[in-house]
Amino acid sequence: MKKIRSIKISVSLILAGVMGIAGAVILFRDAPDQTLVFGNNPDLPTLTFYTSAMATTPQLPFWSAIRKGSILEKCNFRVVLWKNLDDLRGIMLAGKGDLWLGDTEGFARAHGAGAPVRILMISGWRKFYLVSRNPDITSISDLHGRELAAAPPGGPAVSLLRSLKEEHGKKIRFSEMEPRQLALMLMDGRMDTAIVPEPLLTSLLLRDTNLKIIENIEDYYGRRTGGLPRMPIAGMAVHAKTAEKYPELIASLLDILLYEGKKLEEDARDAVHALPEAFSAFIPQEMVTASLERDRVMVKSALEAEQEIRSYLHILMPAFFNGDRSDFFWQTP
Amino acid sequence: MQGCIPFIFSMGLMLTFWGFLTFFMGTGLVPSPVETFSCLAKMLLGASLWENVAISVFRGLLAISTTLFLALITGILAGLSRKTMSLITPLVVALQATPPILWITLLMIWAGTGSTVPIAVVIASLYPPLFFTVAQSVASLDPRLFSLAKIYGVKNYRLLKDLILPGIHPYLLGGLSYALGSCWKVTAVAEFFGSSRGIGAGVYWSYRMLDMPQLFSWAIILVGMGMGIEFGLIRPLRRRALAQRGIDAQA
Repeated sequence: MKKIRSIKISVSLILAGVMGIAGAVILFRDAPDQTLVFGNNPDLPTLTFYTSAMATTPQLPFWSAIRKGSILEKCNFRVVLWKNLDDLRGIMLAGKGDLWLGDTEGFARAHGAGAPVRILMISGWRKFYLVSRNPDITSISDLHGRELAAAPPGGPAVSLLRSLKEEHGKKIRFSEMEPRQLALMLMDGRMDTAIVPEPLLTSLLLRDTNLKIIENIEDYYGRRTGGLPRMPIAGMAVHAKTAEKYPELIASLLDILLYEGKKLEEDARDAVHALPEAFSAFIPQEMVTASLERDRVMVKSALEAEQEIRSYLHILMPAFFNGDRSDFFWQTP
Repeated sequence: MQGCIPFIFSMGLMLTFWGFLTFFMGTGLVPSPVETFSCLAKMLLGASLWENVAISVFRGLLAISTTLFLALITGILAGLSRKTMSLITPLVVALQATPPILWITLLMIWAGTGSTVPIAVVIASLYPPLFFTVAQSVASLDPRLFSLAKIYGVKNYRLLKDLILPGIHPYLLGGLSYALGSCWKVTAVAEFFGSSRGIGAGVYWSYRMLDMPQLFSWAIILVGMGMGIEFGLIRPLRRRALAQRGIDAQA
């Protein structure tokens, strides 16, 4: 009996030891997914770009430039996927990576907490839609006293509606959830109204013909602020140290992205094929193509869009610009 | 063969319950056992699952070794001196009262996601019980033995090797078996929130993609590994500890 016990302990310890050593090798080797390494010119610097496979449109100019090779003449890229907006904020606060694709509010919150974030450009402007199959809901004002589902958790649409709602005393109970969880709940009838981003909207509209678009959140924002029907929702930011170390490189990257963005404003469908294969597991390319009908590509440098960013953040984070935030915007060297 | 009966009975009961859930809730929410096991088989043939498991095991082992090392040093010091014990106890109690989710949140802000979060959270969660186990078992050693050792000028190293470590050994095994059981679960939770690799992260991605067969497969892997640790390590260690205590009591 004692011998069996010793054998059990020894076998378990050996197995755990072997697995542990293998785990250490995998972690310390730190080899990125080879499908997400772009460029191998040893004379060029390699930048780490943190992005998400779920936010496709704002990064189309980047992938288009990767496919054409123009951006790879400047540097190599190692692309890492973040899990969610909380993960992205943690990554920025810890100062990991050189470039980040993310939401403007997240960049501002991270900057406010001392993260070395310099916003480079805005490439996501029209993303969020209020959808419902409830005939009583005809506008955002009908949401008074109701529960409203929204995706993704921590997304800017909810922050915005919360901020605007307070002005008018509206009481919307927000229930934030992951996009697929929200889709499931909408599909099986556990809820009838939600705020969804593109390209999830396209996928839902294709599956449920009773679901109707009630309002575009950016149109609502434009009406409420008396400005353009768009919001500087998402874009790209650069690590302060990277910007300081490679000022010319960052300037050329921005130029390339602005150029690609301009080209994609007309028709971005072809650029969808430039998205990495790994992204298809999250959102099929056909869905991204279909979503471009509503989700247009437009790239503006953060400096060019500074006033819009300031107005937008003034609603979401009224105290953000109280201090000196001049270093929040990346400046041309 | 007789020893397998409880296992077969429990598994049969679980599969029946699972089948009922699939029937009532639909395969969209609860995939059938057949669908789940076929997904699990596919995952077992791929490298990704083994990489994630190996990463979690490494993090768990590193965390528990560090915790044990820290608990031994501080626990022995506290067990040998009442003053040290009274000084350090409030701090360790505060640590014990801190929920893992708070550590996860803070560490995600301070260190970003990666291995730091699961390793540090396991250390913070398991250090207090291991510290108290070591400190209290050292304090319960016969003080006359220490007096004798002092009279005969026994060196500290021999005191540790021949008196303290053998004396606390059975209690330490008991404490370690508890820590091993908890380490596994805490690592998975910390990875779910604070890491993009590892078993917990695998669960997160399945949840995010709402891939229910994959989510259930990860659940089977987690439960299976937990059972493996319980039957392969924790129970034998606990029995060895009990047998050791029995021998000590007889002596």
